[in-house]
Amino acid sequence: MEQLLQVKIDKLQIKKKKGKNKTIERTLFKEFELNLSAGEIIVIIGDSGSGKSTLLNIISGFILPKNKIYLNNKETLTFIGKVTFNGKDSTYLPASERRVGLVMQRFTLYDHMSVKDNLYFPLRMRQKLSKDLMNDIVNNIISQVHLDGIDLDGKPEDLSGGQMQRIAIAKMMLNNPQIYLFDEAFSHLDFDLRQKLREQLIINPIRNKAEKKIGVIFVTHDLMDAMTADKILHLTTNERPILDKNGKNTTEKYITEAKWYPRECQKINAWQDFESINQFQVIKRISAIKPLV
Amino acid sequence: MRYSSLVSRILMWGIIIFSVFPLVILIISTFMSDTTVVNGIGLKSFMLLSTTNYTILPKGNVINTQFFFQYLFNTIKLCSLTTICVILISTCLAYIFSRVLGVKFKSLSSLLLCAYLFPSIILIFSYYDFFNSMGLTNTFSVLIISNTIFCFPFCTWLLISNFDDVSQLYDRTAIIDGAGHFYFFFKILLRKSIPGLLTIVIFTFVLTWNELAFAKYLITSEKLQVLSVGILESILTQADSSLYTVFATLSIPPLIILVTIYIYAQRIIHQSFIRERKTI
Repeated sequence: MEQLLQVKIDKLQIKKKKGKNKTIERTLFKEFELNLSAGEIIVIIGDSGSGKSTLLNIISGFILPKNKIYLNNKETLTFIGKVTFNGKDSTYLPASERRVGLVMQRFTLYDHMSVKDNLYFPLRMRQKLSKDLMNDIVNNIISQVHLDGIDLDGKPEDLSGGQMQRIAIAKMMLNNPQIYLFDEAFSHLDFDLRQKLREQLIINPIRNKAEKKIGVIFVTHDLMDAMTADKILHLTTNERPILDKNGKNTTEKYITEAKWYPRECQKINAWQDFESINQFQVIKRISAIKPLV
Repeated sequence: MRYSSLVSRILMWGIIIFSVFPLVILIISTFMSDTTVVNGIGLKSFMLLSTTNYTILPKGNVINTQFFFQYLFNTIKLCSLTTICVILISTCLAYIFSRVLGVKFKSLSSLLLCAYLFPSIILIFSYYDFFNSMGLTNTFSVLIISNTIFCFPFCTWLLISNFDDVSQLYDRTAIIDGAGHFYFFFKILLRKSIPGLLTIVIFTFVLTWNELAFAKYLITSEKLQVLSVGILESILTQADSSLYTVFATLSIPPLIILVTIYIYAQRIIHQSFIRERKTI
């Protein structure tokens, strides 16, 4: 399979000052590598603050390699690494030229614009098209996300949560990306709707496409998302910090461990390997699919 | 529960009466004779429900009316141009502080507020010297410049926090959609900051409308004079006592227009906040 993306991270670290003499040092990735091929689905799961969304930001070009990036007055980020798209070094390629599509839980749609204007937005940015052509493209994409007959002149706030995310996915597809990035895109939707959207809009089109030229990276807390993946990346942060005392200064060190799981991990029993996931949650998820009699 | 409800009602009506008090005084003045108002017995006779001091229009004379319209035109022109200048400067500066400069420089934005803390009256002589050396005194542009300098620091500071409230995730979405800084600024950030923009429009307009010090000392020509100075002079000099009541009477229609615009603007502000909360 053709390799779409390769991310090599030598070091990704966040330092935070806490009080006068205390520093919190979080090493999110060290000597880490992620490879995504065409037609492949990677799911990233793990604790909050373990670096899932940060990894997506690196892929989409919002974090570029630098020794010190100020996140706020107290936090700095260090990133040393390399990003390759289609075999070409694209570490410093601007986000708008990376051909990645990003769908988040919120803020993917501009709420002050109508649904139609939201869908026109990426088309207007990329090329000058006639209104008729844009209408055709938008209608075509609307039927791809199973929303025929929807009021395109209404505001996104008038849509249901599921419809809104369908429109967000349609908008992402209009950018014609090679890599789909989902950052907890469906986590606010109910279980059935989540499953329906996932299968209708992501899994089936990608699996069924003859020329599999699209790769998907899913960041989620939902184990059902993980069960559809080709590869699972599980990130765990050590709960107890390593204390490093240098005179008066104390440094709390947290290190994230990245584990890759193969496709076979989709079998339910394999979930017991995930130490940080509450077993009760796993049972709850499983019972949601097959009621325990 | 009943007691707290009663207290809140009393408080509410107290605040309402307190807020409309200037308007009530102005309306009463329009129905009083010139001498009654100037001698300070207008409100007293209103309280005593005395009808002897009331008159019905017309009051004053045609010359006073002409002054009023000249001053009113100057004031509206000054307020509008100053508001446009403040919006242009504040939005650009706020965007630079909020989106272009990094977090490191953010603390600099608090310096803007410090600039606003100086009372304008302290600066008046330095301003006069400065603008006089440039040959700008007694021109309309000097009022626009001085009012803009006075208003823009606070407006910029206000807009920075407004722009900061617009999630940075919108920037990311827009960049991925292919939008540049310019397009993002006009099509998304400004549109999402309408409450903030309307606030600075109202703030600048009202502050410039009421501004007295710059207009009094930097302008001497009567043709360029503004309403606040006109009314003040008519009260201070008492050369023509009818001027005040004429101004009071004629101020009512523009005031009603301003209040209507304000009510409409605050509805937009309110709706924008609600929309922000509702949309996921």
